[in-house]
Amino acid sequence: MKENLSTLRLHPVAFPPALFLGLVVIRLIYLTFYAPGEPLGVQSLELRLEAQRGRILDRHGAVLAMDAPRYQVVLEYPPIAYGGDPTRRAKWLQQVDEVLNPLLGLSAQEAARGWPDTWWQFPLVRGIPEDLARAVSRRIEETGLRGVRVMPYWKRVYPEGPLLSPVVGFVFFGPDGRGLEGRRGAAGVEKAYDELLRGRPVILRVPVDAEGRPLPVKEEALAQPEPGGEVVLTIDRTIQAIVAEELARGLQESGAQRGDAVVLRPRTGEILAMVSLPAFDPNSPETLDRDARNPVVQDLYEPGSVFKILTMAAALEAGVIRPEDRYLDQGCVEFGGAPICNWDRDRYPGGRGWLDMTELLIYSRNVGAAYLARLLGPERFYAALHAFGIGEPTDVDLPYEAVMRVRAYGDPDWREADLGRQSFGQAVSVTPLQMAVAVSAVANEGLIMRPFVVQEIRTAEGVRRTEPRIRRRAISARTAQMLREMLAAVIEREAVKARVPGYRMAGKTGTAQIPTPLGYDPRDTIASFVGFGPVEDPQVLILVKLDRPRRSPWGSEEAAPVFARIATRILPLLGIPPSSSGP
Amino acid sequence: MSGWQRLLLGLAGALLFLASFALLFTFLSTAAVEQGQIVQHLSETRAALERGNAAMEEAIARESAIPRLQERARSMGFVPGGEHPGLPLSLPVTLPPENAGP
Repeated sequence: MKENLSTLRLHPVAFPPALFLGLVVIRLIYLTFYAPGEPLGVQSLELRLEAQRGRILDRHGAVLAMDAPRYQVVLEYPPIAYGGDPTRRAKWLQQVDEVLNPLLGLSAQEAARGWPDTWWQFPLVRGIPEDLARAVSRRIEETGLRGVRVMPYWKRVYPEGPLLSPVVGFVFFGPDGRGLEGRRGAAGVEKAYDELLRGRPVILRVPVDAEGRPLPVKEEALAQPEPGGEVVLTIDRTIQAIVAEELARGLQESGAQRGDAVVLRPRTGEILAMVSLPAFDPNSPETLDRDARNPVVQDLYEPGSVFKILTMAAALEAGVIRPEDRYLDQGCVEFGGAPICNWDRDRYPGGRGWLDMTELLIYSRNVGAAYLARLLGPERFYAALHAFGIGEPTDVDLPYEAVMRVRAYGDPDWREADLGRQSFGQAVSVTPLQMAVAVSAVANEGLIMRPFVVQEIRTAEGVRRTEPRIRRRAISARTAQMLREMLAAVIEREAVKARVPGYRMAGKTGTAQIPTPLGYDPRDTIASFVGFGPVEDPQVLILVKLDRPRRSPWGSEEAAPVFARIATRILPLLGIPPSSSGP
Repeated sequence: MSGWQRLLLGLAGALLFLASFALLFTFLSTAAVEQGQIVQHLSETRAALERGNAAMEEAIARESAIPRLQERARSMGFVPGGEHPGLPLSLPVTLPPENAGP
């Protein structure tokens, strides 16, 4: 029995391995039960796999924004593999240079100077083409260089460049500036539909080998990011290009600093084109400054005489006048203690005499608009502005819509003189889109539609179409019809530069003074024109606005021809037949 | 067979069982890792194909972008039609004999 026991005695040679195994077991128990987070900190890696952002398409399927693959060379220096020895690190960087410098033409040693200590990965170069990426990969494999990897990533590209930039917008990296939090929409549709376009990235915490490479031992390591949904716009890029071309020509000929134009379907609220010039290039993020915005939605201006459409609509709707009613036009009148004068008071110091309501619009009489405001009274006037959506957002599906409160009857800062000035478009601010939407009620039997730029959303769950939505009735169909005829007469009898061959159009010029902190700018104006057609069945509305034209300050001279040229080109393109009674 | 011998035999049997179990575990783990690597490889291939597809889409989108189309049209001798809404054309068109079909 004693002999048997002696054979089982632990041999001294077996003691060290037994001790080692014991320590390993104790360490495992500690790591498992007492410090579960610790091993992950050094032996696992948090990886963010960016999802491919969804495309943005025009109404005919042309690509306006998409994610395209690009490649980057990444240096990796995981402490688990190399420790914190700076000499080893410097030697390794020297090796990297020897291998990759001939291909990439840049120094890893220099690039790594900006490498923060807390990062164990550092992008050496981004945006290299696929063939170079392959060559680099081959070279790394041939030389057995460690700690360098070629990785793909998604880059947002905008094939049409600046053509649609105010509408489509752009993306930027998150607050960390490196994309660790993913890309985010910063403006336009990219911003408004960011959640949908972004998709679902995958964030993995996976075990890594000594080189920092993920080990495929956990199911989650195989997870793939979910690509974002697609957004189809109501914008027609051909119409957008035509509008941009004609607006650019208008800017060049008039000498205006900048301009905006919007084309929409009054029956549905679909926006077919939305142009602002000069425009930023979303493909050059370094050029994105404060101009990277959408002025059609974000910039306010005093609309001037185009606003008389709304004053006239309010008066017709209230029944205080009929189109054939006449008033005595004078050069200047007093309204609430302030003078109101016609724009041509030098030529007609005593006014144009007796004019009917159509002539009031044709000759764009400020005095006549004030006369209508006086007939209406402040309560009915401001109720009408509210009905047209003035002073409130249009609810367009684009971000950062600007709105300015209308100083109205009952407000402590309201004066009677405000009513007179607002009747012809002063002392009231709107965006070009708000003005276009308000006038669209005249073209759409009195109904205001919600404007929209996204007609369809495509996701893995299915397709969702945007249905046109009525916001409210601004005026009756009868008032709208009367006003259409009056506005058609404006083009037929006075604003001849807005005529469109073959089509009977309706519209109104606007020449607005520009407010400054010291009063109105004595020299510069905003020249605009808003029109729609064909009068018998209005299918398209166009607003053109030129800021500070040099050649002539008048909307009838500078904005009207741009409107006419745009309409001449896009009406046949939209398949709208010529008017039987067109000029 | 003495008690110690039976005990040793039992221990040997248990060790054999544990060893077989460990072998089986190792075998299955290796197979799982291999399968994981295959799936990962397939998923990488799919990702590469998707990137290739996106690159082609980008090339098509760039080539069919309006500024590019205008540039190509100009290089082919086309001129903007804004000033020339229509070209005179008389019908019927008579082809010269050398261009006429059979």
